[in-house]
Amino acid sequence: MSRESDIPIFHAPEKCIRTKKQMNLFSGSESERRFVHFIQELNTSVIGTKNGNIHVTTKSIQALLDILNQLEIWVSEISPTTSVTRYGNVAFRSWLAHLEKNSNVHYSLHRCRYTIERIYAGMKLIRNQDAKVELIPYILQSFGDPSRIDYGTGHELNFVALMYCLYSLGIFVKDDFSSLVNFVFKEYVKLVRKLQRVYRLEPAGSRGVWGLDDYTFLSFYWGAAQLVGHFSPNSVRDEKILKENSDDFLYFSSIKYIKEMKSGPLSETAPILYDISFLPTWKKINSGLLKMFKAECLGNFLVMQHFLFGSIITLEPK
Amino acid sequence: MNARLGLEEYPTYDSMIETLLKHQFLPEADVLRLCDRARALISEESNVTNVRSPVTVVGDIHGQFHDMMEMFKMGGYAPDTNYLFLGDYVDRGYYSVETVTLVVALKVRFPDRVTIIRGNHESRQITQVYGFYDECMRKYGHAGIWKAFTDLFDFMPLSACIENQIFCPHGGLSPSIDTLDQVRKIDRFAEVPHEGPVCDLVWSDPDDRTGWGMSPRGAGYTFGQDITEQFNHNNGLTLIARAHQLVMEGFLWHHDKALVTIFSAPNYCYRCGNQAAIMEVSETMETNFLQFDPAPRRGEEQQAQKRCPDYFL
Repeated sequence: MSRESDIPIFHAPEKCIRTKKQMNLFSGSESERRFVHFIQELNTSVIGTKNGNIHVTTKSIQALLDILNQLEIWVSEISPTTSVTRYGNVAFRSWLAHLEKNSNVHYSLHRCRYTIERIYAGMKLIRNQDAKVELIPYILQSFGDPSRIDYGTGHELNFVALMYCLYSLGIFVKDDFSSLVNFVFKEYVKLVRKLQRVYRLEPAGSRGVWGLDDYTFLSFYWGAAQLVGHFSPNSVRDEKILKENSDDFLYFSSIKYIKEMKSGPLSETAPILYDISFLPTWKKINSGLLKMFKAECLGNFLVMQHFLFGSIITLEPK
Repeated sequence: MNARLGLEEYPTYDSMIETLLKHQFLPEADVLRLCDRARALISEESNVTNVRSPVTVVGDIHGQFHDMMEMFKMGGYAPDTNYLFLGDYVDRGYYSVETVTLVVALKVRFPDRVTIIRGNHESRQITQVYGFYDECMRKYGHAGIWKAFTDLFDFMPLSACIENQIFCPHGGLSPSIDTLDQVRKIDRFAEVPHEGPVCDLVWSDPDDRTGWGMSPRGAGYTFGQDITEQFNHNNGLTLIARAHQLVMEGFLWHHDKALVTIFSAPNYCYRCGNQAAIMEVSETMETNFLQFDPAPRRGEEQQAQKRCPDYFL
């Protein structure tokens, strides 16, 4: 769907890639190119910046932040159950069900000044069309899988897809890009870490120590861009720098999180992150991470078989 | 090649095991030779390998070598303790090469006291995604060791059965299998396929819902208590013991104690905070679970050569 098309027909995005062969419907397609371009532009927008911690002025950014804030409040309201479970806590299903119920039409919590409804209202003005059918599935897939009670980079990808759709619909504009990373994505990461801890979400499809990280990829990609001009890559191995600056930088906070959650030295628990800390520049790390992201997330059947395609992120039969 | 070692070969293999237990490097030629011997040995075993009690049953290890040492300390060393390993020796952990080499060496040296079966991670495709391939490349600089092991994996038995009473696959049951005889008839010597009975045995999971269900893993099935009970009844079994899923206490009963999950990687992936367990089956077929925690932290070890993925070159 181009942004100027006359009558967009929104529909609920769904899983479309069922076989490895079908991967080539997305790999190298115009649809993929646009999605990657968005992720790269967000990257460019945060080079040499820091996480935001001041008041946000745009309403759309604030709306998304309010939603994330609300979702975090629900975590404190929906306590983990004490019943015996295999691993993950089943209260996560209640949390997601709560999200599903409230993401539909009745989202009018007084605690939120701007709500999902407000975003929908904005969309209706612009498109004269109700695009929420297109968005809700991405929101629901952004926080983990209720059946397996797990979370992985595929879920993170859905949140980025949500931001991309909102951009495609004109809810966000290019001026918002750095805020999408430095405010919105930062808060999203904070929320999913809370979900991981509180409901004990199993790492989904983890490669263990041989993957970049169990849960997040883009914290490192965009995080490397932020660090350009601030610190050198070997700061990753400097406890003091990590500790003092992890609130400001996605990359540092993600390393700090690994150190908190995993027992053992980084060289053993996260050898790739350890090894790339010896590279000379963040630019080099940043460009390597983009290549790795394309290959191991977007180019990975195990991730993409769960990814949703609709009228904004399309999958065109060849 | 003889399937079993000759007496004169015992000292060589004993010293190999000693080296591995000390977590010292085993030369590539020794590893390759070991794989050859193991292949000759296990290719003769049935798809449902008979195991005598007493035996100690071990679930997923996933390259957590130091934790496996902790397990031996608690459960006893082979051959004083008989072991049945339920697969998933490799991937995710940092020491898959060391782990699988030791397990295979124990099998070759003590073939009647150690049984190894195949898990879903003992596969070319899966190990290329989940780390064993990367680890071999990092530690040996080429894929030869990975190839030798993955070729060996094709010959691993699909399941074991303890005294004709406890059926032990890595994952679970299959809608295309009603009897153990049907498992025995499968031609297993190939990569784990994407569907069918071999795939299901290494991929399926028990579920609270009855009947067969689609697995959220995208391979194998979920199966309910009715399926488990029917299978046990059909085959004169008392229990299904399987691995394949992380469980918080290291073991977990399902289906009114007709099935048990055993998971033997404590603090899985360095982060999950779970206990691990092994299941002792006594001579009189009583089961007892031994739980264990991760090995105490060691100092920072000399790591293999640093190797940035090609993306960063």
